Amino acid sequence: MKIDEKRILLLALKAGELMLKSGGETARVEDTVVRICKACGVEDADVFVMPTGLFLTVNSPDKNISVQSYIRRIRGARTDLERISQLNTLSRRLENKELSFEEAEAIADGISREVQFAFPVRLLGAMMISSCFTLMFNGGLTDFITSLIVGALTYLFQMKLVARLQLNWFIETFLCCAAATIMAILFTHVGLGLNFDPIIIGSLMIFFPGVMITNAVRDILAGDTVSGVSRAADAVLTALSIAMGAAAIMAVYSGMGGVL
Amino acid sequence: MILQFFAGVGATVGYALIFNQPRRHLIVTGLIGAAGWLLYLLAVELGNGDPFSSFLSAFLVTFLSQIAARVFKDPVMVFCIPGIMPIVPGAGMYRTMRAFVTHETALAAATGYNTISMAGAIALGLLAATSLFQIMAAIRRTFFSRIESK
Repeated sequence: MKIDEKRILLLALKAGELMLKSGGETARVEDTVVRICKACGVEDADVFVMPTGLFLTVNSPDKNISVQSYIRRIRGARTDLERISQLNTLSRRLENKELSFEEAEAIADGISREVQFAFPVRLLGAMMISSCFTLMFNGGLTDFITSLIVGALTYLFQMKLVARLQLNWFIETFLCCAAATIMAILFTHVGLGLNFDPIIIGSLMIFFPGVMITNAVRDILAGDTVSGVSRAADAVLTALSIAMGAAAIMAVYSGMGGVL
Repeated sequence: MILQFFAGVGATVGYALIFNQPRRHLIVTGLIGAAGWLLYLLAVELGNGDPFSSFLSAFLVTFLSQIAARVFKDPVMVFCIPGIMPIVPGAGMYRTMRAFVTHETALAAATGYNTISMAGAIALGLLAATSLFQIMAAIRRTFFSRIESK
């Protein structure tokens, strides 16, 4: 059975786009796209992936069919390891002929619509991050409890308020970290928590660009230097915006003599 | 130490939750992250500097993630990204920033230098463990597959 070439390419493109948006590393996205094309009988496929876009070109051995190219611009990534795992499995099963093309299309459709962990679960994750880091950096029991609250409020602030404004990510991170710092200082002054340092560290850790650091190294190692360097720059800038958010508040705080 | 172990597991699982990790891997990833964090603490305790301790820890986390990836047939990064987070030098960055704000320039420079070295060491640890697996795979490919095919 001959499947329409365009449908194959759109499936491959969709898988690649979803994977890149979920934070997949460059080499894996390229591998997945080519794998899907080859599994469906498109032999001469070449793909070029960057963190901000994806290019796919295929050539058919038939001289009457011209070369086809597709470009997808990628905006707004959000880490989703489950999707990466599912798409990776999808391409492998397609390759091993465990799936028909139609089934694969349906699965890819499902993946793109699927919701991730419910919001309360992710909120719990943010609380675990902030409180555990407080413990790791010598916070006491009261600090632990305060950082649970501060972590939860900060994450709520980000997801329910700042994310809706659709500002750029630099300002978003900046605002959230500033809010976390204000709350930590206020809570310690009211007597909830002995020391605000571990509480602030815990809440800031929620925003650390762990995915970009890891992917930057893996990309550079795999020879995808353009992606690797741009991801590294992204990580450095995010770290700076975190530091700036906290620094702005700390500067005001120490300008007031460290008291409120 | 036990408290630190649970803190390590908790922090890693927290990241796994906000990064929407496949549910079936939560426990393994938590253990990988905690192992990395404990190794870091141990290395510091034994008198190593922060950067070298971070290197060892990042190496261990990536190494374990590679094994987990092969056992569970899922991409390495699924395990590696949450696992590496406990040793990311967020505290160092915060202390650097704080020293800058309070005009303690010498302290800021020293902490900043230490933080950047730690970040570099983590990248190197990742790189070393990934390369180690590539070398092992290459050796298996070149020497052992030939024997099998005969």
